[in-house]
Amino acid sequence: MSKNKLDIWLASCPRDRAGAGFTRQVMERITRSDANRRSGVSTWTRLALATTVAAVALLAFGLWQAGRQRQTARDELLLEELRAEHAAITHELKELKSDPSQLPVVYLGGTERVNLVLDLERLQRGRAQTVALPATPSMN
Amino acid sequence: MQDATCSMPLGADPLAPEAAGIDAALMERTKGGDRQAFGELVNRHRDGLVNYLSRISGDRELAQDLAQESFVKLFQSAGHYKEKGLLRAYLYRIATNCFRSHQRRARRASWVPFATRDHDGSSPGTPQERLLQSEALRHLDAALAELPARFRAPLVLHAIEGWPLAQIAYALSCPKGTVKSRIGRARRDLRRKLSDLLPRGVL
Repeated sequence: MSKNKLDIWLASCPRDRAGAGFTRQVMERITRSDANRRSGVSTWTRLALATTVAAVALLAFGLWQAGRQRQTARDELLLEELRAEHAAITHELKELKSDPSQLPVVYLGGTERVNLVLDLERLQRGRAQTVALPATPSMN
Repeated sequence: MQDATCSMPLGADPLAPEAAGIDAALMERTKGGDRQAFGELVNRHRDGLVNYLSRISGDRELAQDLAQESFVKLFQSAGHYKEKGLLRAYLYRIATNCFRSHQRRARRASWVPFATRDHDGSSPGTPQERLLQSEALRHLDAALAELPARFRAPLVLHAIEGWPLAQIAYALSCPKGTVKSRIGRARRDLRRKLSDLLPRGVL
């Protein structure tokens, strides 16, 4: 078969054509596509808005959480200080109770001139005395 | 806007030399939002595009659908289109890409033989000659169907649609040399197949 003959046959092949209403259908698809695009834009806008709201909510929650953590840390520090102070006082009291030889002198009161003290050691020895001392410079 | 199946608006053949200028003017109006102008563009190219897609896909219904999809994409990309006098090739490039996408989705294309296609019955000659021609076309169709789409598409555009090589190369997104070699390969395969199928002297 010659090349030209083949070309002639190919050129004489029956041709398909666009169906009835083809152009109208194309224009309808364009209109639908436009509508979908518009709806797509609005969907994107809604999505962006929702994302923004979620981000703001997350940020607010984060800030609240951070503030709460800082407050908790401050409270814990204060509690720790109170515990330490309590432990120190308890320790001091324990020492006082455990060593009778180290009985303290209790300050009872006084004026600018005179301080009234009670020497517990002397009291234990049966020689309780109430001593009035000058307010300064010493209290022994 | 005309919409009869066989209409050719503006009285212009899309293959005529002045066709590129008419296409460019219509596309310019389309860019400005003139849908009627785009409708005229559709009318000018719909038959050729449907025939091309029908040839390469082997499915007339699919060809109608892909052609419509191609026109919709052309309309949507009108704003990006730069006029180079190649609107028709640009449209066919979009159509070829639509077909390739469809192929990827569907994996294979069916083929509707010419025997089931509409024929206008206008072939000249005696009834015996027409019968022989019909038989030859059936074999030609079968042989075309066996060609891979990458060989079939350039052959259809060149031998059936009568396109120049440069436009085929643009439409198929490949170099001119590749188009030439594919057309040559397609012709050789067709000749080989038809020589086996048809009696001597028929073609």
